[in-house]
Amino acid sequence: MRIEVKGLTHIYSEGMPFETVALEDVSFTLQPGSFAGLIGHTGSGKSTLIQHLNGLLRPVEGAVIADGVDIAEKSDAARALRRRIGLVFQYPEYQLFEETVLRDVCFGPKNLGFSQEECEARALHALSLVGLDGETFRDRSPFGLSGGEKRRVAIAGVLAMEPDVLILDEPTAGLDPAGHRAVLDMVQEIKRERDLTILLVTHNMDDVARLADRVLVMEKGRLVMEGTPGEIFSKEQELHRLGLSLPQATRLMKRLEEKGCPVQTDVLTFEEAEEQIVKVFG
Amino acid sequence: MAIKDITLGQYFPGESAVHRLDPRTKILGTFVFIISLFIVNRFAGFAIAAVFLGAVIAASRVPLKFMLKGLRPILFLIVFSTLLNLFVTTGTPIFQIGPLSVTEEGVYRASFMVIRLILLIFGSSLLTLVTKPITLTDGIERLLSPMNIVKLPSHELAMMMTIALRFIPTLLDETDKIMKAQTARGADFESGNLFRRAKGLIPLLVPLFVSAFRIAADLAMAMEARCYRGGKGRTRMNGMAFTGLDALAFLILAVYFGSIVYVRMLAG
Amino acid sequence: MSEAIIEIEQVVFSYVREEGGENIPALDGVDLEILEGSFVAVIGPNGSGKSTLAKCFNALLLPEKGRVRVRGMDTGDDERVWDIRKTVGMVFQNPDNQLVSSIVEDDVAFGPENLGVEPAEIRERVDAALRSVDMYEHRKKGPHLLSGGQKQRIAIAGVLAMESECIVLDEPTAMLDPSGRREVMEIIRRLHARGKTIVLITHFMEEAAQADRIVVMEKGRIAFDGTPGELFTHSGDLQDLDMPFAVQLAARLRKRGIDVPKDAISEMDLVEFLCASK
Repeated sequence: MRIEVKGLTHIYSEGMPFETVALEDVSFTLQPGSFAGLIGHTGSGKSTLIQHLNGLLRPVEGAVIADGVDIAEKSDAARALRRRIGLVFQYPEYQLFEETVLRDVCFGPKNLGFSQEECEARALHALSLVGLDGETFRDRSPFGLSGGEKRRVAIAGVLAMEPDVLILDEPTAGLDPAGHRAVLDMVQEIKRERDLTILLVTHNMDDVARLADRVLVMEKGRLVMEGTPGEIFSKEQELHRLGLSLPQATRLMKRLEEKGCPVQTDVLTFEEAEEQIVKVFG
Repeated sequence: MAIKDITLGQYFPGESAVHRLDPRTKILGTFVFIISLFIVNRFAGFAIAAVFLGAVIAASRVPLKFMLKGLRPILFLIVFSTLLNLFVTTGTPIFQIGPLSVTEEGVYRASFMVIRLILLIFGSSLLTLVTKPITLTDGIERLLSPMNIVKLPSHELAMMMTIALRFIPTLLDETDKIMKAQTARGADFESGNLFRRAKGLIPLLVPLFVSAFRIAADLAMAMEARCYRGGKGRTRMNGMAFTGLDALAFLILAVYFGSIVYVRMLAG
Repeated sequence: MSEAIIEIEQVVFSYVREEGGENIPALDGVDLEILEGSFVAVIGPNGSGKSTLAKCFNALLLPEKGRVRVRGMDTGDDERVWDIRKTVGMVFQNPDNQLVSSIVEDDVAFGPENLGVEPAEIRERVDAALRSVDMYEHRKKGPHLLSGGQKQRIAIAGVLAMESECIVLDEPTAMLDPSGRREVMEIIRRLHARGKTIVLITHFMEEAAQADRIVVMEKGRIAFDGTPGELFTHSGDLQDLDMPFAVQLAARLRKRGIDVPKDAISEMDLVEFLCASK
């Protein structure tokens, strides 16, 4: 699914004394099958933006267009499209409520109107996508699982709706390094298997450098930078002004360059850093 | 977000003399005022009460608009009890509407009740308009502390209120987040009949309760880690002291109450 | 010779699990000593027992077997619990769920109020504590208006106001964004410089690397106890541990023939070595 955002503006408490402009004239396009990273300081509008992308919030001005249809419309077509855009919030495990894992994961498909058998089939498939064995977990209480398992169940709950687009708001928040890696590996795997369009909201530049093919940078409700990771991370001054850092590999290269070493700084990953250094110093 | 700030007990910030009174004075004053409204047995009494209240509202500099807002929730009650009193009271009829008659006594009763109700609402909402919730809690705690002798846990009650106040914005936030997450999974909190909507609240209420319990468990642990062991031996950083202003307030209150009682005692 | 503030001897602790009823010990024979004035980091994956260990320091949890002593006081001694908790203060992972009052300064006062400190002195302590964490200007605000990093600083101030000698921080930055993490780590370093004993429970190696000493927990046991330098040059038989970027890179470069010295453990070290070699 292709998502175009055009001139999106959102104002909280419009007309009241404490009206806040959360988003101002934001425009960009998510190509089908792409992996985009959304970065920005806390309060830059990332949360508000993603809530517009699946229709939870309605724009004050501008529009979100999915496959040519304005998703804010009250038509059946718009509704059908909204349902194909999945949104996983931060700490998604806080939304679990059912008596068993299977029933919780079935909640989404049920709301879409599928039959019990179809819901269960989708739920079991979604559980396998997140690395949880359906038979072992289906009848367990979601509240008796470990933190990592709960998060996976919550993500499965969104996957069971079989979205074409998956938006994840800091899916690794609060996880230890192993859990962090596991979740991102899982996202990549799911993307491959279902050929999804992914939008990842994160504070981790290394993840963005490694996984994204496109980066969107927000500040105070505006989209201030847009490009490939290579393009964005070459602008250290600008990022620093926005309160954002560089991927560790890129930062290392910049420090070397500052000290007068003839290294190329368009390095994004650990492996690229290794190669550059071996080339120059080996 | 800013919405949280106004919905909390509708405190109207200000530096007026009324705002600056000790919360205990304000609580006791409200009590006295409410009691006085039930002592009144003729309109003259209400006139005195209205003048007194009007003066306090003016002194507090709270705009009338806010005071009127307090009436909105009970508008239905006012209309209902007016109609009830108008038609049900027996006595000398003024006019008839079919089988129902409106009597002189009915009109008297209805207006009496309505005026009392309005004064009651204005009087009590003024308390929350000029006192911050946390200050109110402190005031209640201090007023109730003599009751410790009869085993009333005034400190614990106050602590519960303080914590509830503290977590209202947090729980409102939680509710919002859960609603959004479930809506993103296709939940519908708006349509359907009463039964359907109630059932539809489960995906909201269960996680909310779980969150509340989690918050409570975390908080209890944190309080223990900071040596909380109930009210025994506890001191307070913020002292509460009566000032000359409070003395004046008590004097005015006494004069007011005296006049109410006097008017009641008058024959005829 | 520094004295030990906290001594942990042969501690075993198990949570009783509901589903299944198996008793897997969260702590399986731990010996540890925290010396006064030191900055110790306890690191390990989820489930390694580090949080459980932290709660043993101030008697929130009592060991099944073994003993925990704080300045000589046994945590199992009911009479000394409050003195123990005054000596060892704790800051928790969730910034929101440890703040009691809806006014910042009232929350910081909570601890000293519980200790029965005189009101005038509480006021002094609260003001001093808030200044120490750079939050004095926010003292009249409601915590729900603050960022995660600011809330954690308030929590730290709350412990400082109790004049605790030792501060244990249980994954204080796990729920914060990068700038919040930086704020909190800066305050921690500052407090350590002023003589507080700090125990930092974390799963971020970049944070643990700032301590004088790192204790690595694995399945309820201590797998390593030494300086960061020692840890990073240790041959990698510690599972699931994320070595800092520079350390990993240095190891790879050594394999590729660039002789990065073993004591180069930070980005700065690496940069300096490489540039000097050119």
